[in-house]
Amino acid sequence: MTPVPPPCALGLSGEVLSNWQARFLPAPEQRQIAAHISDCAACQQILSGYDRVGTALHQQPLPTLPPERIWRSVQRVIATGDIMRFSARAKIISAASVVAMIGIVTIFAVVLSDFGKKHGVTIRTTPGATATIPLALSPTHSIESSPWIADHSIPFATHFAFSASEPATGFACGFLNGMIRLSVTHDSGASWSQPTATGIVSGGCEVYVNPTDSHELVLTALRCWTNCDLVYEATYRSFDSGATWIKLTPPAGSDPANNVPLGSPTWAGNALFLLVNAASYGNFASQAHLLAVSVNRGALVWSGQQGMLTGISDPQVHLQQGFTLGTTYYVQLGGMFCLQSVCPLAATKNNGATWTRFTPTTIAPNSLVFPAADGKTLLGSTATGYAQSVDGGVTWTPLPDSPGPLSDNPQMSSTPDGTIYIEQISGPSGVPAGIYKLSPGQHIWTYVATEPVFPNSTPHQQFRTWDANGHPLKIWELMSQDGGSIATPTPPVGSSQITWFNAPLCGQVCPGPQSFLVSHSG
Amino acid sequence: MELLRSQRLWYALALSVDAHSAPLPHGSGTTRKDQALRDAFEAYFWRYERRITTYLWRMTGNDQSAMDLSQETFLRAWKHFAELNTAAETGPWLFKVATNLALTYLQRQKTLETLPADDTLPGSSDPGTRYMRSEQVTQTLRSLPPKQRSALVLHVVYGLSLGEIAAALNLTPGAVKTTLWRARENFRVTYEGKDNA
Repeated sequence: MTPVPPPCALGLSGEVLSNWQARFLPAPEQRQIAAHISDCAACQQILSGYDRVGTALHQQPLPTLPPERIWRSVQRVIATGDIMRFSARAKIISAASVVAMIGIVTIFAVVLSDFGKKHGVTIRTTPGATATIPLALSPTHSIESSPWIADHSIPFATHFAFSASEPATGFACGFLNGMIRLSVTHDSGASWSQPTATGIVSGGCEVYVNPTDSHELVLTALRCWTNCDLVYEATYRSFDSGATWIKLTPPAGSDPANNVPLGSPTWAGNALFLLVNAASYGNFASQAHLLAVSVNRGALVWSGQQGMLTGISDPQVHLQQGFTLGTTYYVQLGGMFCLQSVCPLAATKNNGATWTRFTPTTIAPNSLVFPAADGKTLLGSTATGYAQSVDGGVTWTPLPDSPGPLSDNPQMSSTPDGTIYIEQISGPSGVPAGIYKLSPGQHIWTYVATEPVFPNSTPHQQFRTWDANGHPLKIWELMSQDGGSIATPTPPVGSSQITWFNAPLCGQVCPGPQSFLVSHSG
Repeated sequence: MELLRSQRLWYALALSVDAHSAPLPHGSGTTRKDQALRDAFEAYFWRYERRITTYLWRMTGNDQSAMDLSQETFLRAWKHFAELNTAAETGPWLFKVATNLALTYLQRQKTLETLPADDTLPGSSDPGTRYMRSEQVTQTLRSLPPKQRSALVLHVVYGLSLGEIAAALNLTPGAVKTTLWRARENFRVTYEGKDNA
């Protein structure tokens, strides 16, 4: 029997707590109750009941209602004005099926009867007998493109990350019942802990793990959760696997009412780097990006708007292009999309104190640079294919030409054994879009797999990483079955990721996230 | 490394139409403006379809009815599409339309005092989703009064705000608060009763 807690000292009712959890109360009241709840067992008991309601609703498996049928039907009605209801169609089909079945049974009976007459066999039927059809249980099922399998589900999560130092350990976060919650796996995603409250009442999240310390996490929390506008609220850091969180200080002069888009937090050696779009702070007009560095777990030190990289004059950095190779931290210069010219690189080996700037040769104007999983090689694209550098990006060696035309931002990745993977967005006739690999010593790209498609083409987001520990290769993907939740896994072992979309976004934080880890062995 | 969300959005929107390439029908007299509107509507459909159809499934508990009502919701959206500012978040407006249709449907079901035939119970068309917990959640949702069901699902699952739910259900904000609280309590009691049964 559940023990009865002492009554709430404030006498808060279930309705008030329901409103608090829904964030329906004025801000001062929200804060007052939030402060009270941590010490009130009675409130916690009521809220945990509401948590279970939310969990049950979010974990409710959904049917596969083919959207393309609805779309075709909408098209037809718009074109002809004739509405045909699905329920009516189902009845017609059902009736037709019954008629067809009666016909088949009749024919079968006649044949059997004839057979019985000829051979003296009596056919008996058992009224009410039914056949049992084995049912496949969701979410473990084949994906339409057959080699893909949805291995494990993380029912509430919109983002996850695995630890590089402990590859079986991963963290998943999502918005559930008024709060960001965190789940942990220690068996490579096969099972996840019950979501625990972080105390961060934001709408969405992304979680990152220090590649050398699986207890250190960074969580970027989004303020907006209905009318989503692609912005972050704040960034938090935990040194105890998410048990407690520290809110990181935004840059001086920023407007706390404005949201803060962040690039990915990146660790290099004993430093944590954050790249931030300065203009997003509201008070800064520049589109330049700010860089924050925290050394030895210390406070974030923010760069100024100008000259954010000591000795480097380039005003703009590709926001998501901060990455680590070994213990060197790189940023790719040239601004947001880096499409107009060959994008220079800047590297620091001393936590941002000094930088080296250089313009790579060979790689194409639109090339983004990715760190390979071996910790030594950089990967990039050329005008006709791909290239690699083993001297930190100063010189580049072309790889075999790609199977087809490159996308605007070709994505590359690798595993520690030196196998390189590319995502072919589209190709000429006979070159299917999908994933290709180049094994060590090989001279042609080998087709690995097509892009996985969720059952009945459910709109979803696809983000992919390559499990560098996987032998055979294991490709992970976080997908959303309900509206296309945004979800971006972090590469498990220092490799980069391949990312693309094939569905419209549903907004910043999408309803009913249902994420899957999808694997492919090949 | 990750693509920034705004960049992801750009890619997603750019690719969304390609992913579902069936065009809206148009005759030889279709103007470029008409076609642009139809293209925009197609992208709009794929942006919201999943949320609306799953919401209606949660409301009706019936595959075919959910698809019927989803179809009707988008037909109404098409009717007003030229006036809709699709650059803004119009999800709440669609949910309001879908809610009205669902409540009307449920009222009619109640009047007829009929339940869907067994062969159309939720999930029966999809063996993959037909397992016990789904049935428990579905049955518990069905036990709630329609407005409680709607308020609970709209807020907890689809994240609509107080004002948006009030607009969808034609209730005052105060009434929504009470409705949501009662829905939570009723769901919890019923669901945990089933769970312990």
